[in-house]
Amino acid sequence: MENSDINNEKSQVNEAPLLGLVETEPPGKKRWGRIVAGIILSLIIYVGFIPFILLVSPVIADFFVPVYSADLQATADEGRIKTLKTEIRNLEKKVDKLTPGNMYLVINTTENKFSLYKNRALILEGICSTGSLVSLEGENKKWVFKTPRGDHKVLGKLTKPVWRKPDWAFVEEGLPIPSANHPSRFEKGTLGDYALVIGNGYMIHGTLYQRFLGLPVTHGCIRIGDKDLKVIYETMQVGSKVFIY
Amino acid sequence: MEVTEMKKERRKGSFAGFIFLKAIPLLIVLAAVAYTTVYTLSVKNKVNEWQKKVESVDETTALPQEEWQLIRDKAFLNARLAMAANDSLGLTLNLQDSVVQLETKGVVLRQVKFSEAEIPNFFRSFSPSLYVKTFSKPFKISEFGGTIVKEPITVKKAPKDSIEAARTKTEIDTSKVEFVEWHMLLNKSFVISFVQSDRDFDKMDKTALNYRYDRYKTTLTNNVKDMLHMKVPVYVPQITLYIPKSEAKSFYRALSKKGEVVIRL
Repeated sequence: MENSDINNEKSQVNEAPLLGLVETEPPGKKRWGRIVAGIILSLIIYVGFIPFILLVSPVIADFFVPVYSADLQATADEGRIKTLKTEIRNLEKKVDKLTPGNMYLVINTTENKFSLYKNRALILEGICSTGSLVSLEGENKKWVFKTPRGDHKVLGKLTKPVWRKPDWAFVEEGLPIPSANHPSRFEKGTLGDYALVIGNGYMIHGTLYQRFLGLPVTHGCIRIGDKDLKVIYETMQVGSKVFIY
Repeated sequence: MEVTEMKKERRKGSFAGFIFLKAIPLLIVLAAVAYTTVYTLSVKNKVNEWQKKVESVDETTALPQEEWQLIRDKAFLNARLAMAANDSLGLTLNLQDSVVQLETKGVVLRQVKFSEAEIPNFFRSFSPSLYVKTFSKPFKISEFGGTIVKEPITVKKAPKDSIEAARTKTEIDTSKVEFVEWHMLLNKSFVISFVQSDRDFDKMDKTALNYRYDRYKTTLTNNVKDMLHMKVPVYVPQITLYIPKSEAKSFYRALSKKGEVVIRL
């Protein structure tokens, strides 16, 4: 009985191509295929877990948030709309009044750039130099060379300014500090042709070191190139605003 | 004898295969599903928590589009006026017009358009009364963090004499390339993040990668801790804006902790 079964199976296998059947892969190969697929899938799960919960989970969660939307078809109450429009116009006027109507200067200390505005229109843009952010530590005193941020006013205008060197100018050079009115404290030409005083010892002035314009190299003052400084000096008045950020 | 050993080896292999290819991946998938579910719950909780800030007003009927638009315009202007009373520099994010402005006392110092932003639906879920209550006043900055130093101060010892002064003259390094990305936490409840718009992965330096890693790590640790304590994690919504690098850097350095932020959705 067994022998006849085996013979029968053999004959079936031999006849298989004749019947149009194709030989299948041996079972070992199939198993390996499944294992490789399993490994790849597992690797994806292992590697993808953290990115999934950091990046995909928030997107899925966001999908379930109900969004408020206005009614596009509804017609608004005219009275309410009119009141709102009037209130907005009044608020806009108030906000608008905050910007100086005449001229003002804006200094960007990160980029070392300036912008000059007149009648709310930009009339000049260019490079400048601002505080180096160096903290100079002397024996008993410390100076931080930083341009003061915030809004300032032009307190005075000078032509051919003379620089009265402060103590740090000597400390920085490794020189002894002279008396308050010692001739070595006064230097002509260093600050260029014009200077605009903005208070607390800070000024907007010219420079001998034009190649450093655009870099943070000053002791807190704002250095501007000769041509641009002339325009700024002629445009800005005492009382004009200087915004530094 | 050899056959039995082979069988044993096979059994060992199939056990390891079961653990690493079936059991652990299944656990990971379950953890991901659990995390996503809990995260979704935390977002829903936050929406409800904010909605409770306003007294229950009947808002079942949606406002007409024009009125909704005007309400938001009014809230924005009110907030800008309130921010103008602050002496510090502030930031205005007009998400409708895709504009970010640096302002002081109502004067716009710098304005930049952004081309891309990620705004979660959380902010779009606000009803008109909640919107007015939330966005009619400026937000306080409670925390800063970024890939660049906020105030890069260099400490220099005073030279002993003029020879040492000449020797120690510092040159400015203009070749340094930085990837600018920073964030601020507003009113201790949500985050505004700025990323330089030119943000290809190869532009990211080690500092930027560390910054991202730290932020992700903090979020993940807090959430997992809460989940292990059977608590729903606290969702911190985040708006991300992609702006040019120079502006991203200037805004970060200009803002102080006393500064405020106005948002218009």
